[in-house]
Amino acid sequence: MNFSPLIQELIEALRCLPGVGQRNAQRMAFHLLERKREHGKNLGRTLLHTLEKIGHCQQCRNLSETPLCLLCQHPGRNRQLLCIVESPADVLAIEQTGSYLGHYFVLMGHLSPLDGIGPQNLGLDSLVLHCQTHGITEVILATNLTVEGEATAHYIGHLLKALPLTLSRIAHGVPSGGELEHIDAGTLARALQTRALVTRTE
Amino acid sequence: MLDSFSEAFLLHSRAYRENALLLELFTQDHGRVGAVANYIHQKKSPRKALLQVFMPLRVSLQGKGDLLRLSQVEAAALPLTLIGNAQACGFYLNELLMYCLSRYEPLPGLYEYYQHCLGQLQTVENLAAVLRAFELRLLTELGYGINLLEQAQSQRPIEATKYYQFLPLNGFFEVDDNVASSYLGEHLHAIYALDFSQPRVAATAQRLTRLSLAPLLNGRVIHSRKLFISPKSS
Repeated sequence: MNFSPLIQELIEALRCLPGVGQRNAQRMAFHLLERKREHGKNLGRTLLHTLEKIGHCQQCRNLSETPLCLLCQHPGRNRQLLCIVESPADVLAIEQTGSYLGHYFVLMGHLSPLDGIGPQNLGLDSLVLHCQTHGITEVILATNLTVEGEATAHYIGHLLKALPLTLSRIAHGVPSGGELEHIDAGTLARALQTRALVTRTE
Repeated sequence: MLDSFSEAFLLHSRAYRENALLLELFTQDHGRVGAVANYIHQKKSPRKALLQVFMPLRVSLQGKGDLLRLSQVEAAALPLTLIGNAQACGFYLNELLMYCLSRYEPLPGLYEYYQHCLGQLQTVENLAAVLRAFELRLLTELGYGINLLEQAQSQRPIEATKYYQFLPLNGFFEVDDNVASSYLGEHLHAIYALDFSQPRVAATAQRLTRLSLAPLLNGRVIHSRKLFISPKSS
């Protein structure tokens, strides 16, 4: 059955969202039209406004409505410490720990040849420039511990090797509350390889 | 359709819904297959950790049609540790397989060779030699093998001291003299023996496999070449 052209258009438009198929889009469209007209209008306005206003922070590439994002403007943060992450969600995750007070650099992805994402898509040129001009003393590579994330970390490590700074990679191993019995062999092997020192007898 | 376990490598994955992945697998028994893996973010399930490229897997797949369902997955061996350029080479092999193989075309011989090559990338110095050997094997397995011993049509043997011209999808033809872009028979013999120790042979082999793979790649760009860090710049 065909709906009226406008409804059809709305359903098609909603399908651009991840995980939303024909049936879901249909449900959303009817829900907005039948019950939540005001909410729908608000959603439309916010969506337009956000898409127009939000760009990328000039410094860290994170999503931001000002040329410099709030984190980059923050006076209390350590300007010499830079943490490289893959996505804005990763920034949020690290911020929630409250244990990091430096700046970020958001790659907005990872190296993935099969998806056509190469070094030039991740803003790596501006990363090198940023490290040179802002007097960064330590860079923490906090890309994901997937093969692609590791490849990205390795590539960035190579780019920054010549600069006078400390380069570190986030530790990986057994998660809090993890039981060794249930951990995959790869993680466990790396946890053993990169084990932390408790005491040393001379 | 399938229910028994098959050995497999992951070629590519992308996020699908909240808790699933769309996978492209290269399996020993069924060739390249597409599958969906559900519940990858469960706390106690190491599925996401297992579903990485270069990880030898044992998978059980269910369903029929173009997209199967991954019902079980376990590690077949420890993950291969490819670092830096070796990893870029691994990505290159995956790209070739993704673009050149059609789905459900069982190629157990190529599977074993892929596994062998990944193992070699971990240890050998001459990474390019591994890639060339794999490319030649891939072409042979897909029916596009290059005859490095005989000329096309005439089937006369290729002689070490003579020069030949190469036509993709056809083969070698003898040319009178060392004209531009011709191949020396001796180099072709070295390529047949997979001996790429001479730089000129390695360069010839690269030119040859690029020409031969071009029709299979259909104009698609291989992106992993950009990840290769040239030793001079380090």
